[in-house]
Amino acid sequence: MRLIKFFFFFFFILGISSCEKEKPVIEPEIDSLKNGILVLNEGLFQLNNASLSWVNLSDLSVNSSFFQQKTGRNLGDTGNDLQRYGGKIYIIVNVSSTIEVLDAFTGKSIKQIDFKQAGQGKQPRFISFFGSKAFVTCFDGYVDVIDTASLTIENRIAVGRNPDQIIRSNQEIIVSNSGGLNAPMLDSTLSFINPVNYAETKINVGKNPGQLEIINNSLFVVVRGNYSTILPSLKKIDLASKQIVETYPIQVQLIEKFGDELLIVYLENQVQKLGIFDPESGNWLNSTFIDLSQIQTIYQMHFDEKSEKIYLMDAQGYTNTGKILEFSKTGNKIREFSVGLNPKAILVF
Amino acid sequence: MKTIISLLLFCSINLVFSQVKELELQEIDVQELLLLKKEKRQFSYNRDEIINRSPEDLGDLLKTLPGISLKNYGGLGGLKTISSRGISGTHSGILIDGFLLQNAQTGQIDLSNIQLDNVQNISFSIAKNEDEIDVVSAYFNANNLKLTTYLNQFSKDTFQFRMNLKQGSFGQIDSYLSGKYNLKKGYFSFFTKYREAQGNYPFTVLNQDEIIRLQRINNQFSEFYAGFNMGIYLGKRAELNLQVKTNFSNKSLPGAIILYNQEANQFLINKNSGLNLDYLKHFTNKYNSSLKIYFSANYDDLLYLDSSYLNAIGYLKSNYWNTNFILGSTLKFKVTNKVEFVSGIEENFSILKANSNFNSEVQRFHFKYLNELKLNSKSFFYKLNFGLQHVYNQEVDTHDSDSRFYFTPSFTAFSKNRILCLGELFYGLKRNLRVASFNELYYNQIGNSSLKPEIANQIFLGTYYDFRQKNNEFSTNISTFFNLVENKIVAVPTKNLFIWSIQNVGIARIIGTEIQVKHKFKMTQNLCFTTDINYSFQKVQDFSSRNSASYKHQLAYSPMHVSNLNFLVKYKRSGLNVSAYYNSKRYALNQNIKSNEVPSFYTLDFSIFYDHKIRKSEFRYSISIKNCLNNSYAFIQNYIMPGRNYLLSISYAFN
Repeated sequence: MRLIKFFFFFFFILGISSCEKEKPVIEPEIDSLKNGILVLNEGLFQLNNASLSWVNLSDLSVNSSFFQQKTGRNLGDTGNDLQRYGGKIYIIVNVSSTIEVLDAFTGKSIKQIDFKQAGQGKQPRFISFFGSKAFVTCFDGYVDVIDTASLTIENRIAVGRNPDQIIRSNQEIIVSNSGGLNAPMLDSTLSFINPVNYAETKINVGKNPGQLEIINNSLFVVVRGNYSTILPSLKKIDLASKQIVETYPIQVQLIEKFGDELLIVYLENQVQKLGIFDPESGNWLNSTFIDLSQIQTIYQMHFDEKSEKIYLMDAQGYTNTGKILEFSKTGNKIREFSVGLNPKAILVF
Repeated sequence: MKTIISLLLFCSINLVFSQVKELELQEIDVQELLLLKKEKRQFSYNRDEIINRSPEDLGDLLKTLPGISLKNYGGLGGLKTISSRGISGTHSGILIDGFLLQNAQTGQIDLSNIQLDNVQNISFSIAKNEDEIDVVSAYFNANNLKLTTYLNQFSKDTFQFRMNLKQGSFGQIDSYLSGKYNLKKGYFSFFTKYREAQGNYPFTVLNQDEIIRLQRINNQFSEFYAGFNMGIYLGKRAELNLQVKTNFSNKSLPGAIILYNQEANQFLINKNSGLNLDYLKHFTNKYNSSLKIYFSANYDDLLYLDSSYLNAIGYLKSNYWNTNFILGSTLKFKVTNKVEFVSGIEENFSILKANSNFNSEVQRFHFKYLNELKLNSKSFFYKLNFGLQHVYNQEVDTHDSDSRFYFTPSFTAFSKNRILCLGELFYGLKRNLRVASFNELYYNQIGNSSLKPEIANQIFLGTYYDFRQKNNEFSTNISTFFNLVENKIVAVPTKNLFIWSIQNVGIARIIGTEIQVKHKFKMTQNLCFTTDINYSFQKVQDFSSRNSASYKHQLAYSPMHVSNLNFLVKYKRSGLNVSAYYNSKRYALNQNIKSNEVPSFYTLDFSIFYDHKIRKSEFRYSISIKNCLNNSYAFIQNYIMPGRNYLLSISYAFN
């Protein structure tokens, strides 16, 4: 009898545990990309969980299954960059080595561009545009050129080691060659590419160059150092002469163009701060513009010139789903939205 | 070529066996009702139970024990680690024939590298077995997994021999040979094993609405193991044992399945050599004392190769050389009939050299001092352990060092007999630590040399109950436990997502229960049924930070429910073994949300076998069908396991 009781108990427990399936939460489908924010959530390496969240600004609802609903498939592994150009949205998926191209009005998939060569991922990182071409940095040491009409890769331009960020000036495409996978032999160069004939020239800026911003005729580069003995700094480069004109000994972590000024997240006495920097004078206009103690892990920031709003992306320790915090131009917090894992880039519609 | 040789061997042995089949009719069947083992404080498998389950390796077998959660990174040859009662496997000790396995660089032992061909018995216990004298480390671990092979035991049989040949799906070939020659004053034994697999199994992956069918690539491996053992009696009550072993493995690393990118070009090549020596003396004095002195030396050469790494030279080659020495002694003696004392010391010295990722050669001196008191009362015996440890880590080039003392006491009590209807009780408190691995301390950029050891506090209460009738045997083992893990060592991203650092930030609380039920029924002289059911419930919660979104959530890869059923029916010399395994849903990250869910799964394995015995020779032919329902499942997110697969095996044992 005891034996029967035990068997009964076992199968009872097994039954309970196998009946734990929850009803799936069905998020309402988005018809068109209007009055909202599209967020690229990077996800985590090897988890195939990069995603897009759509924040509806009219009712403040968030749909983090945007890409799945529009395409019937997942985005892939490690979303890295999100840009709009003309009527298309380009999403760079680093570890999956793909670029997803979506319709900028409906969000529907136009094409998935494969970024592999001989079966090996080129690991695309960031994208920038010039005329009818898109330029994509690939960690294998090249910038790939995509025709934005046919969405095919037309050319490969050899640059430095592990090219990372990319930006366009009036005349050129500029690439920071980080050399991150060659540590401790990091790269120190920027590549300047002629967008017509693809000719490339390099200048030295310091170890491990990263983020780039252009204000007027100056290029600002975050030079990240080697994460131990060489500290990060901010370099100002004159775009005409391609010479470093100033080095600011600020432990810069992130920069963002803020009109004619720069928003800078930096480290001071092991405390993260967000200030407004005047690139002309090289002085802080406000070194503690937004209090970062309300943010657990600042991962990226974005200033939308049209709405004049600042968006800070909180990665919440990198392993929990993130938040987007919206601030006015004067630094007052307006609201926040919960999004997917590791929000990395946004587009405001 | 290897396949052809193995096939030839396989066929020739089949031929030999088919010829001897005629003789078996004359054999007298002496099958007895084997008594179920009394497993009051431990879970164990004997050789028959191991063979009947046809496990791939130790990890595959351990997943069926109560309280164990397996992390399996992709089946054959893939990394396998366990956690016990929600506590990381780095707190567990693995002892083979009384010697501790250790890897100071990672802190983990890959259970896929431990083969079971020569294993006679496996036991897993939270509280140390009271009768054996062990290496000092065994008294300090959160739990101990002990493997006993036949190769290191003194025996009356003059000659013993074992041979296994296996051939399975996905190019799996496995051959094992061992022998032991016993003399009046000692023994000599040897073993050798070769295993390989292509590992190119098909699998399906669900990409939202689409089912994608792919094949695992870069998953082949080959392994070779060899060694010899010697033992001699030194007088009437003293013995000396020596083990020398080496192994070589070459594994391709398929990695996680990445959507839209099937690329995998990583390899792991490992060479390992070891020497173990112990001296055991039982004194015939009034203290009835025993002394064990032991020494181990182990050298491990690990090469990680990424042939498609996107650096300037186009590949990444990281070499690590680990050397480890253990010297210790344990003394056990009776002070009175009611008081027994165990005392011991052990010094564990580890060195790691590397060609990259470490700034310097690193060293560790880990000293353990043991004092354990065992008190015998009328109905209980009690054990009090006062363990003291000293850990000294240093970077050789910079002379940066860290030195700490730790006190790790424990208390356990076991009833000697059944107490009313509660069965035989056991309960205890245990505090143990695991020191940070060299990777956690010193790996470039992520290492943190000021890490404190991770502490695990365990409280447990259990009961054992059995009854035996003429043809029926039944036993249950039920335990409940509460564990608190402090200073949990976790990797935390610091500067950005790519720059992580190891920190002592975690606190985990674990509450759970384990149930094991065993039943054996001998219906007739020739027909016997054995049923073995295990169930574990574990609530493993993250209590690290109240502000975290994962506060009080179930920790990543900690299933709340794990259960399995093993059913064996044996008729004369034939048998059918059915194993069902269930693992409830888990989360890939600590935050318990839908997008982090790793689905629950169940598997069903069958094996049929036929045994026969000719004098001292035993043969077994078996066919196993694993995952016979062809379910697509994964222990770890995106490491999808093989579907239905087959394994044919022939075993021969003499004595």
